[in-house]
Amino acid sequence: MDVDPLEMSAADQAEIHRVQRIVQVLLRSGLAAAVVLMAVGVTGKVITGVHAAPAVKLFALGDAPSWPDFCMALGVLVLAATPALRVLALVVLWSRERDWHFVGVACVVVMTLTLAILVGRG
Amino acid sequence: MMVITAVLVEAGRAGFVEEAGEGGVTAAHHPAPVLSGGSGSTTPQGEPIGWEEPGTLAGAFYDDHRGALVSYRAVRLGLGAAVSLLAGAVSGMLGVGGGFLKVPAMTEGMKVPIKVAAATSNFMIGVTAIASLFVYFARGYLHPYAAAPVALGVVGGALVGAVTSSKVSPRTLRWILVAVLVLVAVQMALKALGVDLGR
Repeated sequence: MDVDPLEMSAADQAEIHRVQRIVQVLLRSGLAAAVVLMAVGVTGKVITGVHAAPAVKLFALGDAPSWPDFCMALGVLVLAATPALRVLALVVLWSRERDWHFVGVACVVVMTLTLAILVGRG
Repeated sequence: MMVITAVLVEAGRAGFVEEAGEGGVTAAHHPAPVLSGGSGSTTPQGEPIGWEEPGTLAGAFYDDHRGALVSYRAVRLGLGAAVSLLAGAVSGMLGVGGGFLKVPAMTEGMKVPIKVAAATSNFMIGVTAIASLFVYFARGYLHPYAAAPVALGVVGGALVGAVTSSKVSPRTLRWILVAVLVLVAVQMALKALGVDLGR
């Protein structure tokens, strides 16, 4: 059963704001980390010389042909993982608000993302 | 690249909690609201934002440009779902973002404010994009040296766009949307005629 947030206690609202603050830190940190990793990787690639290199696989990042390739691939992974974690945070946030419709929708999105990883792994 | 925009929009959305004061949380710097049924905050005057009607696609956001609270309620959800299905199919077939279809569908069909539609479209595209990214990445189709420089370039543009969106009028945003739609239409027509501008 949904609960009207206007009737939530101050403690509940404070808890939701706390979760939102965590989400904010998560998103900004993820974006910053991804940008730094990709910038370091691109710079390293330019310095060490650009050579044709094989693609990097998600589950074999350690097999990247060089450290710049590893940095760039890790940066892309962090960038992709950040909104995925945001969806997980939404599940937590809406659960605390007891907004079950949106908890269900967010869970479907999480399952879709999980399925994408499993399909890719083959 | 769509993922970057989504992260920036969401980071900006979450950013309003930085403005927390004694009386609660202000949304004075709430640049990119996302269509949502919950997750409220309050205006500088202490009015609740986005708390209404959990479980429904309705809400409100503080518009910096107008200096006022804007309430909305999405209608014709079936139409939105149908156009999103079409947008996904077109995006998958042609390699173009589906935002140019989803944003008009939300603003004209579902009666959602254009700023909410833009932010919602970014979030939708970001999540759907990472689903396919994980598949391609896991199968070894990702070339970091092609992806990373482009991603870095888009970060700057997405940041400017997300911040600018909250400062300009909905009318200006609509004209920008019209210009983008015309450009996409011209590009697609030229492609169909076999004209490649990239050569």
